[in-house]
Amino acid sequence: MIGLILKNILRSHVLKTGVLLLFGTGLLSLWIGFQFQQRLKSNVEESALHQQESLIRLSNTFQDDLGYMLYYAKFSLFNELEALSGLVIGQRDINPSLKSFTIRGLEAQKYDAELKNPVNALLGNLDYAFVLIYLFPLLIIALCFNIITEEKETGTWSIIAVQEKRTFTYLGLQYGIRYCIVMIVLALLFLVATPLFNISPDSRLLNLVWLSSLYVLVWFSICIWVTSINKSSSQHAILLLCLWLGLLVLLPTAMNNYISYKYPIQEAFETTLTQRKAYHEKWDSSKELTMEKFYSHYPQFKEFKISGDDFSWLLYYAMQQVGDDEALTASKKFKEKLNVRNNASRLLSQFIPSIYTQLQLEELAGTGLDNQLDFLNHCNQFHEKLRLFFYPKIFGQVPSTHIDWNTFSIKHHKGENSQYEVISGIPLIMVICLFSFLGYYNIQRKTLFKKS
Amino acid sequence: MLVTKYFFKNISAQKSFYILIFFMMLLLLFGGYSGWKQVKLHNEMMDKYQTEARQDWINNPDKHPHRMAHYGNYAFRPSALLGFFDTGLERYLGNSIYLEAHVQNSNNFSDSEYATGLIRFGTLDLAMILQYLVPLFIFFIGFSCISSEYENGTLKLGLSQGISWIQLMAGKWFGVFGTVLFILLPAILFTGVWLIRSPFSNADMVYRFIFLFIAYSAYLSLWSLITVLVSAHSHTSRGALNALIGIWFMAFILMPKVTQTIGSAFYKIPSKASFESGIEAEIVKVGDSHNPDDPHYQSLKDSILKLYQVDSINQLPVNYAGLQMKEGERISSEIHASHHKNLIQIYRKQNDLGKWCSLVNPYMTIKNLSMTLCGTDFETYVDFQQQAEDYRYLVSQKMNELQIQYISNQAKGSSDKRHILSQQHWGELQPFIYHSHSWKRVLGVEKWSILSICLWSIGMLCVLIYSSEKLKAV
Repeated sequence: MIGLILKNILRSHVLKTGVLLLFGTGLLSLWIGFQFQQRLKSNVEESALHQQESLIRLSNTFQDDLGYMLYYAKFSLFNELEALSGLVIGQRDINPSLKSFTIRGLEAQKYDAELKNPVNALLGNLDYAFVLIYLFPLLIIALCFNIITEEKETGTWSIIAVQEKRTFTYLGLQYGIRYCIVMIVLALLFLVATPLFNISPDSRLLNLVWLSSLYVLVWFSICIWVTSINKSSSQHAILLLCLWLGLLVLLPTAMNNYISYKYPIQEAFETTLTQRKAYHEKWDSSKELTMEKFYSHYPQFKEFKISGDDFSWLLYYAMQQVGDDEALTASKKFKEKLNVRNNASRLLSQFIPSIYTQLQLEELAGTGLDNQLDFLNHCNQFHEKLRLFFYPKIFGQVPSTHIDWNTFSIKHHKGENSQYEVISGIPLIMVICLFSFLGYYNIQRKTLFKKS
Repeated sequence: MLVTKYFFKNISAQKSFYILIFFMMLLLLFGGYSGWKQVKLHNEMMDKYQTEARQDWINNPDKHPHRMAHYGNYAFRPSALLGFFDTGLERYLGNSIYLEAHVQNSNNFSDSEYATGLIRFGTLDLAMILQYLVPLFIFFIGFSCISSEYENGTLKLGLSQGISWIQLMAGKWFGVFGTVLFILLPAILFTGVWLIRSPFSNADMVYRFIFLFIAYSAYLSLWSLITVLVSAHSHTSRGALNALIGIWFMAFILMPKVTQTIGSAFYKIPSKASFESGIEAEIVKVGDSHNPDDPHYQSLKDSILKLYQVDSINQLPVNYAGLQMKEGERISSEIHASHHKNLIQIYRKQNDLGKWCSLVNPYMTIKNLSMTLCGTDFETYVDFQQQAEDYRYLVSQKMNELQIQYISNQAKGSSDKRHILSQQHWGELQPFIYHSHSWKRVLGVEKWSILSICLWSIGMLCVLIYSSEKLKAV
C-alpha cells in the first residue's frame, strides 16, 4: 500500500512544485545567511584595519597629549557570531554587532545605531527561520488539505472506508509519508547548511533540528485536525489558510502591538537627556565637587590632583565619569524595562507555537534580544577596562608614543548561550498533542464513515 | 445588475461569510485602536522630551558659546499623523538624534532595536489589513463565483437567457467589490473620524486621506477583478482557488522579501568604521585644524589678519578661534553631507528593485504608495534627518558667530571662566520643529506606483473585454 500512496502523492503537481519551490527558497535563504555572515566578518576586518591606522595616526598627532588623543581614539568590541546565526539572523541585522567607544562618557555612545536601510529592516530577512516558520506550513497545508476529501470527491473513499480496521493505518500512512517528504526537504537543507556555515554537531544544532521537526509536526497535527472536520477540500484549504494567518500574522502582530504599547521605552530618552545634563553641568559647577565624586568612585586615583584654574584632562575625564555615574539610575531603569519587555514576550510566546519557535531559534543562534542585552552589559565592562587602563596614564602624563598601540586590536565578545535541552520542546509538544487528539477524536466518532 | 444582486443573495446566505466579516471588523477595530494609541503615546513622548531638552538648553547658565555648541540639542522624531493607518517604517526608524558641534551623531533608539523576536512578524495596522488580508478575503469569497457555475451548469443557462459574458463578469466583479466595501468603508470612516477629531489635522491631511481612499479602492477593485477573471478562466473551483493562492504566495509573501534581499545583496552598505574614517580622511586632506602649520588654516589666518590690517591674533577685534571653528564646521559638514548623500543613494538603489517590481506586483505598489501617503516612508525619513542636520549646522554656526563676536582672543579655550556669555542668548535660538512636507511631493516620489496602479487597472479591463469575447461556456 505504501508504494501506491507514494506513487499517488508523487504524481501530484502540487507536491513537485511545492517541494521544489520550498527547497529553492531554502537554498536562497542559506545563501542570504551566508552573505550576512560574510559581510559582517568583512566589516570587522575593515574596522580592525581602520582602528589600527587611526590609533597610529592619532598617536603621532598628539604625541605629548595622551588625554587629547583619547578624546578621539575609538576602540571596538565585536559581538561574535554563532555559526547558527546564518540560519537565524534574528535582529542581528538591526542591532549593531560591532560597537566603537572612546573612553569618554559611555552612556552617550552605548546606544549608537548602525548604518542601516530601514526598508531592509521592514521587509525582513529571508533566512532559514523564515522559511521554516512561514513557508514549511504552507507546503504542509498544500500536501494535506485534501487527504480525505479528495478521495471522497473522486469516489474512492468508500472503498477504503468499508475496511474499517485499515482506515487508521491508511490515514496514518498518508500522513506519515507526507511527513517524511517534508522532513527530507528539511534534512537536505541541513545537509547544505552544516558545511556551509561550519556548524559543529553540538547540542545546539541538535536542538535546532529538534525544534524544527517539532514545529513541522505542529502543522501536521493542525492539518490532521482540520481534515478530520470533514468538509469540502476548498473549505479545508480556506480554514487552514485562516489558521496560518492567525498563527503567523494576526496573533504575532497583535502581540507585537500590545508589547510595544504596554512597555514603551521612554527610559531610553530619559537616559540620554540625563547623561547630557549631568555631564555638561560639571562645566559650571565647582571643580572640587566633581573631583570629590570622582575620587569616591576611584579612590586609587586620589594621588592625581588638579591644579589652578587651567583646563586639565584629569578634570575633563572626571566630568565625563561623573556624568555617567549620575545617569546610572536612568540607565538601569532602561535596562530593567528591556528585561521586562523581553520576559513578557517570552511568557506570551509559550502559547503560540510560531512565536515560540522564532524566539527559541533566536536564542540558540544568539541573535535575539537576550544576546543584545548581554552584549550591552559587556560593553560596560569593556569600557571600564579601557578607562582603568588609560586613566592613570593620562593623569600621569605618559606620552602617547610610550604605549604599544598594536596591542589594541578589536576585542571579541562571545555571548553566553545557555545550553538547551529537550525541555525546550514542551510547549510545542503540548500543541501537537492537543490537535492530534482533536483530530483523532473526530475520526473516532466515525463521522467519516457515517457520511460516506 | 441582476448578476450582482444574485451574488449578494448567494453570499449572504452563507454563515461563514458573516463570520469572516465579523472577524474582519474586529481586526479593523483592534488595528485602528492600537495604531491610534501608539501614535498618541509616541507623539506625547516625543513632545515631552523635545520640550525637556529645550528647557535644559535654555536653563544653561552664562557660559562660553562653544560649551553650548557641545551641550547640543536633540531632534525627536514625531510620528506622522496618518502613521496610525500605516505604520510603515516607523518602528524601524531611530527616534532621536543628538545634535552637537563637529559631529553628526547617529539616529538612535528605534523601536525595533530594543524589540524581541516579535518584531520579525510585523505590525498590525489598518493598512496591513487592507493590503494583505483583504485580498485574501476577496479570493475566498470570489474564487468560485464563476467556476462554480461551470460546475453546476448554471452558466450555460444564464448565458442562453441573454446575459452576455461581459455582463456576467462585470456583475460578479461589482458583487465582489461591493462586498469588500463592507470592510473598506468602515476602515476609511474610522480614519476620517480620527482625522476630524485630531487637533493636528490640516488641509494637507485631507488631500492625503482622499488619495488613500482612491488608492485603496483601486487596489481592492483590482484584486476583485483579478479574482473574477481567474474564476472565469478556471473550469473548477479548486483550480481557481489553487491559482489564486499561488498568486497570493508569490505576490504577497515571496516577492517583497526576495527583491529587497537581492537589492541589498547587490548594493552593499559600508561598515560604520569605513564610512566614518572616509569622512575623517577627507577632512584632514582639506585642512587639519590641530596642525599649527596646516596650509589651509594658515592661509585663513593670513587673510583674516590682512582683512583687519593687524599683525597678530591678539589685535583682532573678533575671536579667531571662533572663525577657525566656523571654517572647520563648514568643511566637515560639507564633507559629511556628500558622504551621507552617497549612503542614502545606496539605500535608494537597494529599494529600487522593489520599486521596479511594484510594476508587476500591485501589493508592493500599494505598500509603497500607502507609506508615502501616510508619511511613514523612506523619503520622509531622509527628510527628517536632513532637517535635523540643518538645525545642527545652524546651531553650531550660531554659537561660533557668538564666539566670534563676543569672546575675547585672550580666552584660554572654552573652559576659561573669565570669558563667558550671558545666558539670554540661549533663548534667541528657535527650537527644533520638524516640518512635514506637502502631499504634492508624494506624486513625485511615488510616480512609479501611481503609474503601476493605472497600468494594472487598464490592463485588467482590457483582459476583461478580451476574455468576454473569447470565453466559452463549455
